[in-house]
Amino acid sequence: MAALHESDLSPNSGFPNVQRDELQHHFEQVSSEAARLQVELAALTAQHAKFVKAALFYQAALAPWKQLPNEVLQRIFSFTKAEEPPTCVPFSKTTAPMQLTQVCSRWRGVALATPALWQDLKWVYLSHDKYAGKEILPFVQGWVS
Amino acid sequence: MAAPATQQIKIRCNDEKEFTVDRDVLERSVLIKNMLEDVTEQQDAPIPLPNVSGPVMAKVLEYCTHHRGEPLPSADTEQSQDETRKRTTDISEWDQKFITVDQEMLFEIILAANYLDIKSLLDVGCKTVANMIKGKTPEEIRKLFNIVNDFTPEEEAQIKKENEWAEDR
Repeated sequence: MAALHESDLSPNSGFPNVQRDELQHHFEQVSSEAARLQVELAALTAQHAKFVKAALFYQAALAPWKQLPNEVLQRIFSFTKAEEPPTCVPFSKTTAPMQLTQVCSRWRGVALATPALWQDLKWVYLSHDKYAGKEILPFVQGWVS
Repeated sequence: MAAPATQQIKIRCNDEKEFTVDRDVLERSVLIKNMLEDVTEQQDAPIPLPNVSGPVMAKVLEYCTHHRGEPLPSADTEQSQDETRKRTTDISEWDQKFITVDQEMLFEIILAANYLDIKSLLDVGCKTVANMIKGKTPEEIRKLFNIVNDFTPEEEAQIKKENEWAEDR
């Protein structure tokens, strides 16, 4: 094979039929093996992705914070509230309580059930603000109900 | 009548690890304090602590030993100081150094403090986690604590609305 590959014989120069058949045979063999490995690789990649997803699921399920009872989570949440100035409406996504309501379902439920987070809200009212009127009420009612 | 400070008490953790500790150190835990007060006769059998492992108890005892002799908060002071306490996330230098542990140990300490009813240690742990949360986006918090976004479509829709309102100003 190597000798054939290195030879300067071009296909036009005329391989003996035996050599051509041999080359064709090798070509078909390696092409078929490459195709088989491609299929195997795709299956392994899919399997790998499945296992990675499962590992992430178990890792998340075992996350240390998950052991905390809701009352301890509430205690943590009440410490996240900014000292000064009071929690400001509209809320920022990087400060409590807004950030806590957008992490996961459990955090949202616990945050909404933590009165300390919703006390002393400071309301910034701008007369030209399109949200200054009744549009804000459904959100606030949802949070504090 | 208060017991002599030198009295030593044996405790046994859930991994069979045993500690012999001065009574006043152990009494930082309201749970253990009440247990000891309920026992009229001196017992040699160790107090079982089924919810705490040896390595976590060792950390808890390190904290209790450092803070021994400090007044325990009464139910009244606890309530009156509640709001003030929750307004500050300041942690003393020693406590900060003490609580600089990996995330798993941090949450284990919080759980142990909650179970053993050691309010000051519970607050040190909770404030530490609160400080980790502060200033982070929900996505950053998820990444930090390995939390899966499991919102229902209804919750997602509500959050989307809240975000439009919050970001549009």
